[in-house]
Amino acid sequence: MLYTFDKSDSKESENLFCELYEKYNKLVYSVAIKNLNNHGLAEECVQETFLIVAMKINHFAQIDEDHRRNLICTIARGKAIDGIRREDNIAYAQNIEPVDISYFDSFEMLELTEEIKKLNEKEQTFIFLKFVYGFSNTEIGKIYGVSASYAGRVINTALKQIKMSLEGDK
Amino acid sequence: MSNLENACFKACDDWVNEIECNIEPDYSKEHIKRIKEISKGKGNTRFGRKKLRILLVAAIVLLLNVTAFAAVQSKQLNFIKGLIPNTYIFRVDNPVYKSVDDIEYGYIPEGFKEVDRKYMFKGILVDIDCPECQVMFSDGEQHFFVVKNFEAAQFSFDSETETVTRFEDNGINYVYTEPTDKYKGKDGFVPWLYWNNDGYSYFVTGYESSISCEELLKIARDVK
Repeated sequence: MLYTFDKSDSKESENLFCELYEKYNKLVYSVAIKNLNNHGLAEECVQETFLIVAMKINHFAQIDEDHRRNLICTIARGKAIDGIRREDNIAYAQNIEPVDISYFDSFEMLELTEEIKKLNEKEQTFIFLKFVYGFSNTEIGKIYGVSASYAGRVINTALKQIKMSLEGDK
Repeated sequence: MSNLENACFKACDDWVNEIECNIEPDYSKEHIKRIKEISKGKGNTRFGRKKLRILLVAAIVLLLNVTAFAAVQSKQLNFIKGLIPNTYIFRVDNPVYKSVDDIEYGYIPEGFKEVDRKYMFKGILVDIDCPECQVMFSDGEQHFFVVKNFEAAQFSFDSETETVTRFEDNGINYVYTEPTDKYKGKDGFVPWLYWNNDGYSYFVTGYESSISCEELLKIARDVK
């Protein structure tokens, strides 16, 4: 068994889980079927996504409705990306210098948003989980079956890419 | 929140708002059962269809690549008790020891088609799937692998996890293995049908523990 709800609030957790499933299962299925184009695999993706939701139910209890919806879709997209489990060591090399996120404070938010949208799905998934939902590299690694260091490399590469693109636009 | 965090939220929100959600999913009973289990805090890391397929193909490839030495050692025998406790070995009669260039098959269940074919050193593996099947992990969906190979004459069966049945059909000896009750339905435990013909060894297997021997035999009869 991978997880259990805390006994003290298990009924509450179950109710929240059911509410989230009722509200968002179709949305998750839409994300999955778009990527996987197969009903059986999409069903499996919905199950895997809601398994993560159950594991992180305390996290969901603390965030508002929009964040809940976005987080569930982000997890689902990551689960539906076929290649996410393959650790691409060429694209995400180890010697990428970490980018200080305060660097981005001097840019317009909309400009930054557009650069983020240009990242690939894997990079977007990881940086959303990291910077919107505060997941650690270890947590991201556990969700997608990759190492924490690989998750960190993907995130660093994505930030570096945004930085270079912003500098190129200057 | 930092500028980057705000931008990430905006990008994420824009993406989610653009998702077209106009499909009404027709979930299987198995899916609903699993979601209920998860909601009760009883979820587990059961292998999914895709992972199981990868594991099964890997297991078959490994099987075909490690058996040559043992096959030669045991070539005077047909169905023998293995060296490891609780195992049995089934080998090819008069192996041809020549490469397998082609494989033919006839009957496959309705809705199924060949989706992949792997040529390996000792044989051919045909992957037969039903891409449009609407049901996952239930009697409604099955998935088959048909394998023809030379020299890979030895397969081991563990009598603790599998029951082994030997029978004859149209002059060909078959060995059918299926998971014991304790292992039925568990990931990776699936039925296999083995047989030898014209110096080659063959087998058919599938995902589902509920695949009947009769269904596997129907496929097997046409394989050459």
